[in-house]
Amino acid sequence: MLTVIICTLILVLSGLLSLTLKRDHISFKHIIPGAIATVCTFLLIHIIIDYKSVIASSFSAFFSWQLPFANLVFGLDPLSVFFLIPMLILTVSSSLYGPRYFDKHPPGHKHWFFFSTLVAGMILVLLSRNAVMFIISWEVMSLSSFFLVISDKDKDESVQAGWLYFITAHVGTAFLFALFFLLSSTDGSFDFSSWTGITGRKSSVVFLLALAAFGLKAGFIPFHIWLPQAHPAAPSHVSALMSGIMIKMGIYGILRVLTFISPYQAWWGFLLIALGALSGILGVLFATGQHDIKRILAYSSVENIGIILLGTGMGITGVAYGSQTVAFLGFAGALLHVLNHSLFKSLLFLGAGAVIRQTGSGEVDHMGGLIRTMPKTALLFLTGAIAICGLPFFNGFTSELMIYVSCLYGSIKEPQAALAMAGLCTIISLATIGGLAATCFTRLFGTVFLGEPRYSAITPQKEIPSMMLWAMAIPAVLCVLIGMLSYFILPLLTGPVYALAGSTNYNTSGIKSIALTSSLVSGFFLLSGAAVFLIMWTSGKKKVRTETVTWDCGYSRPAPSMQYTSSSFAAPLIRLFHFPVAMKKHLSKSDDLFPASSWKFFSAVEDWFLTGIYTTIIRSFDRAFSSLRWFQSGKAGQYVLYIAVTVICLIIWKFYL
Amino acid sequence: MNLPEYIISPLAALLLSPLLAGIINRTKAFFAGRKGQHLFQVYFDLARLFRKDYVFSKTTSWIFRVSPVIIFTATLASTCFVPFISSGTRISFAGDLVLMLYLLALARFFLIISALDTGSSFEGMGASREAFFSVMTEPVIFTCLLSIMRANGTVSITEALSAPMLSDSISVLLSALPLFFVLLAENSRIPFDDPNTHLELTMIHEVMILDNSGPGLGLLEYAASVKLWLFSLILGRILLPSTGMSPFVQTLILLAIMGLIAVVIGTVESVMARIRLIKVPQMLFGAGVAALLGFFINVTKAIPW
Repeated sequence: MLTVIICTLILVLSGLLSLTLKRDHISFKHIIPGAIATVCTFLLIHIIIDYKSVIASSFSAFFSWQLPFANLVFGLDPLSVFFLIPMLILTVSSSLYGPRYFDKHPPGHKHWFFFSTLVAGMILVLLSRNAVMFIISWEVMSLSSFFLVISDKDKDESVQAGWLYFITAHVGTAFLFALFFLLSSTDGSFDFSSWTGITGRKSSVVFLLALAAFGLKAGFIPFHIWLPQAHPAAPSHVSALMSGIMIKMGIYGILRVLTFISPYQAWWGFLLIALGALSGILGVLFATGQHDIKRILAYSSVENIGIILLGTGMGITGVAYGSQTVAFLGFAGALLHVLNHSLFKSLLFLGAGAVIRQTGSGEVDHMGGLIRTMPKTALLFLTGAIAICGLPFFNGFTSELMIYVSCLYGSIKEPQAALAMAGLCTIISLATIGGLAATCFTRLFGTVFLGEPRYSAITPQKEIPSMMLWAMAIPAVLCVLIGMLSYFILPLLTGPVYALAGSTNYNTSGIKSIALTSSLVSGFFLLSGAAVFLIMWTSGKKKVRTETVTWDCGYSRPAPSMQYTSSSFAAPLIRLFHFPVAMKKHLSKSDDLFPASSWKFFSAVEDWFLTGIYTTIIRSFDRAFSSLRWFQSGKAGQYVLYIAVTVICLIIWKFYL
Repeated sequence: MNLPEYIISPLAALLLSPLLAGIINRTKAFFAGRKGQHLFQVYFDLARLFRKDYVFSKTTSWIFRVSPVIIFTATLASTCFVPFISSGTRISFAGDLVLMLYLLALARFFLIISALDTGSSFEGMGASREAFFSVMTEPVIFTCLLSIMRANGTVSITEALSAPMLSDSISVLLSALPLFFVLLAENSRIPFDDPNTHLELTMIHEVMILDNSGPGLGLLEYAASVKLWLFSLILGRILLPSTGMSPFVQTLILLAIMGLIAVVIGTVESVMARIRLIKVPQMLFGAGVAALLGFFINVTKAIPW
């Protein structure tokens, strides 16, 4: 425990150190991120080796702490360790990636400072066992990520995205205050340890408040509006960290609050399944309609948070209906998906960063054929793309399989019709999400990496530096390992799942046999694939291989611009789902007979949650309160008058009432 | 008879699957008043393709060269979970349904990216439509098979399909009918796609493999016939009457049912035209609603048949 706290302090110190160094100094560029990576690696090794003692450790201050309501109480339990592990892995890989990513445009002085405080803030969120400490850490995390989002201050979009993020984060914090005050109202204590066993109607209110407070961080629909703006604006390794693990802090918050309240109501589960289905399906549909590589990935995070909610919803429903198998598998699938999504999403964001660094653009429809100049990036990106679609023998499959099996038990084995319906809805949502995700990522990978280059001007000449490739290889290797050997990850899951399901007597042999069998099948598949490949290869050695142009159906000169673009690839799907994802077309034309400039056309899927719902709400607030604007005139005399009136009122109240 | 079932099923698929396409072709020839090709023509075609040399496009990368192998292996592996002879040891575990369908999805993923790898707009169009259809077929398959699994009270598809089949004819009907629609859509059959041409109006499966040649094309054609076999086998298993027969007789009846399914497919292809692309979602949604109805009836047990 003490090791964790000391390491966090070292992280902050190394961040502070970076403020004092010169910007073009070699140590600034490499040593600070190197130090962050080293500290996190050390911490990771410490946690894995000492897992048994770490998960039960706690720490409270041995000196008196002067902050009101705050106790310096820290603790680690299986739930927080489960989030801590992917967090540290991602920090290592993004801080290895960062320095070379910035080769061409070195970052501002404060970049690594805010990076280290973001990491420290996240560690403290996971450690905090007191409401005030939690809110402080939460704010450190939110503010440092805000400063990282606006690190490209010259661009209007970055600043806009930053403000949107800033506001949503603080609306979330406002809900967090309400939540913690409600939780502490029973005995006035702000320590988490005194909050157990909240029941009845209060627990439902607590649950809804937690959904709003943490949902704004987790970014499920309808709270997702900041995600697709902020992730593209931040530098890629920061997006990897934010999308990979920072939004999962929202999930952590919801799960942490679930451990305070019991018994679970079935309708919480149904609500989570509905929200999960909504964000899963709409998230990936919005992703399929986008053109910006990082925006596609950001919307896909919304989708994956949806999958996590589906699992959590099945877990809660299972507990509410007393089905341990459904509950265990639902929670286990949701948690494993947290780990898995953090790995493949950070891999994809780092891959997107590599593409942006080499081409100078994030516009998918301008790229093409990158696999020829950047083969290693392409392979790593493909790994992430297959994993995120939940396809077999990569890690995305293992977690989705658990959620599916939970639903299968719910809809087949259990007598309650409600559980069967919950299971059926989750299965249909997951199947639809699976199909849509495959569309989204074949489209992304195919347009960026395959085919012919569409614009030769931005086609990269060479591969990214090997340091960045190694940084991407860490999550990629883990994606494959967890997919093949999910059996070994199960012990990490049982602790948090027992805490959530509120029971420790679940027999895990069923889940273990699923993990073992799917590992066996994956081995079998690999072997037979290798056999087919060998046969093809040996028999193919004698064969003549002719190279020619792609069959062009009678065209004499196939041109790169004739290729299917990502927009045309997605068109039938977007047309079918035109109700939730309307394609907006913009055409700027001039009516002159001899137009001076060419007409400009672009089409994009608009997020009507932002442009429709939220803008309307904010406008109506604006209108409602504009009548009170005279109150703030800005004249000093008027304010003195306010003070005088207040004082007089108080005196009257004190003496005459 | 003691060979493990998970070996027999893929072996049967390897040996017998091209025959189904042969039956379909003969049926179509019958309706057209032609003599038709040899029943084993697909075997001859495959053998010829494997003897040929390769032609690759300069645009393509290793993705295009590796994809046929992955597509073929994944499709073949997915047949392990559907029993062909209902005795012997099986791989069955809770959720094998998901693995089976996701193996097909893995094959589809590689089919789509290998089509995009050629850079041709024709193949891009096929890839786009394949992805589009899959979004609508997957939930329908899941619902149909879920209903079968619920009727048999097991969470494993292998167990559900090797158990003596249902006495509940409503469930059978309401999962077999949507599944037949999905079979047509997934295997690029009329009225969803035309397996004979790669021309613009129909371009889905045939156009995606337009640039493949020689053994690569052979693997893809083989994978397509294995996939057709898999869907017919599932459908045949669901329709198999459940009287106490010896496994041998049962397998013969199963084969007869599958042959009949092939004849029905051939008949559908002869008497129908391809529907407009825009109507495809409606048809698949209709199938999905029927499947859902089957599941609801199953849950509520409203009709004790």
